Amino acid sequence: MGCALTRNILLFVSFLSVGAPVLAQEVDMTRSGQPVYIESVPVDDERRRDNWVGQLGVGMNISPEFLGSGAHEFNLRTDVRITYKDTFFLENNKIGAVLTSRRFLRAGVIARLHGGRRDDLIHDNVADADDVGDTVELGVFAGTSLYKLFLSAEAYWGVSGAHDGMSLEIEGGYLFELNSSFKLVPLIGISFASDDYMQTYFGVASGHDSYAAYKPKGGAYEMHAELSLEQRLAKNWLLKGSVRFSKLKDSAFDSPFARESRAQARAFAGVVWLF
Amino acid sequence: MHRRLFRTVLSAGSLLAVLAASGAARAGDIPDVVRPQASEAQDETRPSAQGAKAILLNVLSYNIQGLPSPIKSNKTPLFERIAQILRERREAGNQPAIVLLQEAFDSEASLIAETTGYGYVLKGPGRKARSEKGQVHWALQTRKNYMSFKDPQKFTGSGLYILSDYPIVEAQHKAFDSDMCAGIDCLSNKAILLARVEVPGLNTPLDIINSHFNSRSSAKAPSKHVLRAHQKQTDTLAWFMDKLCVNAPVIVGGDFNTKQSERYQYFRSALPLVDAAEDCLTPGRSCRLGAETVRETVLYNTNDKQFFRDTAGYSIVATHIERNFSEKLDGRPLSDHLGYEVTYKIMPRDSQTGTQQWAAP
Repeated sequence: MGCALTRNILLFVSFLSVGAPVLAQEVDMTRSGQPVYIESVPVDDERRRDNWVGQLGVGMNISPEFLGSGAHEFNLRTDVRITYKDTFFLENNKIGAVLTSRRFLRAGVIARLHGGRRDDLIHDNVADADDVGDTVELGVFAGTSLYKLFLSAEAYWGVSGAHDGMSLEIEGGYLFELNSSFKLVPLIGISFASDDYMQTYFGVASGHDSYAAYKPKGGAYEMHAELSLEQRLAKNWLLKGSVRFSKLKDSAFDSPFARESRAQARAFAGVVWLF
Repeated sequence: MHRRLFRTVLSAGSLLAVLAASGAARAGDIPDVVRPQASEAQDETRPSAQGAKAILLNVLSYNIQGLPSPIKSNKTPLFERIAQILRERREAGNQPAIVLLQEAFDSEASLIAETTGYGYVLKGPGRKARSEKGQVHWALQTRKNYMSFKDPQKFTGSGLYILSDYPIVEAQHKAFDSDMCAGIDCLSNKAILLARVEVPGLNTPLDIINSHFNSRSSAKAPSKHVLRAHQKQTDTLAWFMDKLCVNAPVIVGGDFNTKQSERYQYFRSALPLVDAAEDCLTPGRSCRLGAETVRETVLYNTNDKQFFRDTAGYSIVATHIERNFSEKLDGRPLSDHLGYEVTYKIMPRDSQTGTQQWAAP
């Protein structure tokens, strides 16, 4: 500790001691009154955080072919999550930046590529449905955490033409460390959407050749519950799995495209490398 | 009125208890300890500026369990009683010259610092003075990147205080990095706190370190994580001392949560310190335990500990150890810990021969 530091502390002590008796070397056994508060200085090491943190994974995935679909695809899927300086992040189909990071709040901007509905689907109930292209959506997010409890919200607006609507997804969960290498995270969530968004994915325009016109209303359209598990295999390797069930609600529930399956499932199992 | 009377009676009783506890130990309680001679207390002095002679220094380490409400409620009377005991001891002239408090999270705990006559108070880092180093533990990463709070949320500060009768001329702290904690302990900003104290009679300042390490079962985290966090904290203390306490005599006290032998062994192997209790209980040492202090509760069956390291200029020995603050107030213990108070004899060495200048009593 340098002399300047010592001088500053002594100055601080002297400043606070104005009016007090001269500091005696011997202890005053009957001393009373306010003490002199000393401020400590933080000392730090050379340790640095890695700028790049993330995980790269690959595994088998099952998911609905499109929003509201009763048919599921089974395919190989990558799981890519990368963060730069704890600010910029890429998470599979999402990219974003944290603009504010406080003790209980992290918030920022986010964009995602939202999968559409292809016209080559073979299922009877949507064989004549209109194609909905993939859509770029811009949005904002906010998340809070209380120890192992977390709650997050993401709001998106369509910007690339497929829809001009808005959607909001809220989910919360809890982290269970069952042992030093096994983690279990149950969570539940709910999704809301505007009229425009609902019309794009669940509605039928008037004059359609195969379907009667259907105009769903905005509001809560899906609830989901998910259980994810991670088993630590080694310092940088994880075995990762997740199962998610979702159920359509209200107007989405009554959509002609969702009649085959109003409950949907997603699952992933793979190996992940942490860096 | 009745309450005041009750407190007065309690105060008088406590004073008697403290005085009794500081008296001679009963023979037979502690077979391995060499009893002090009656004249020991007169042979050394409390610290003074009158030159090189052995001095006695009382250091109390006390985890006051000042957990924030609602985890623990109605704490103020307990803090007041602790402060009262320290005041009464000051009036009797046998107060600890230096007090290390842990778990002084609640703002009301500051009354112990402010009403007990200590001239100098060093408070450990608050919750905002956290370290921003270390990666978030894998087990605490959520499924969304932006939701992984890299800096664990600190709900409380470090809970550390150092109270001193003597001037604190320098002070430093190191908050543990975000990956140096496990479980619920991560909610407080645990740290290492150093006070460099100008003790009269010593030609060099004395370094006093206070800390509170990660708990074990109460952390509610997998045991491997908890042990690893504790080891990292130990490594950090070793680094801290290497960096800051190079030539000074050092006394290290606190709640180190080293009751588990694996933790204690790692701590001892990483830090070149003398366990004050081991030193005291070494056969042939002129050291005694308090009247109601049990040998195991100062040695290994305790999380509260004190250690020291002497230098080429000064040797340090423990002359008395006592577990105190054992009374109850309205049926409630003052804390879930006892005080751990050590009297040290600090002696200048003969620079020519390396022998002590003083004659042991």
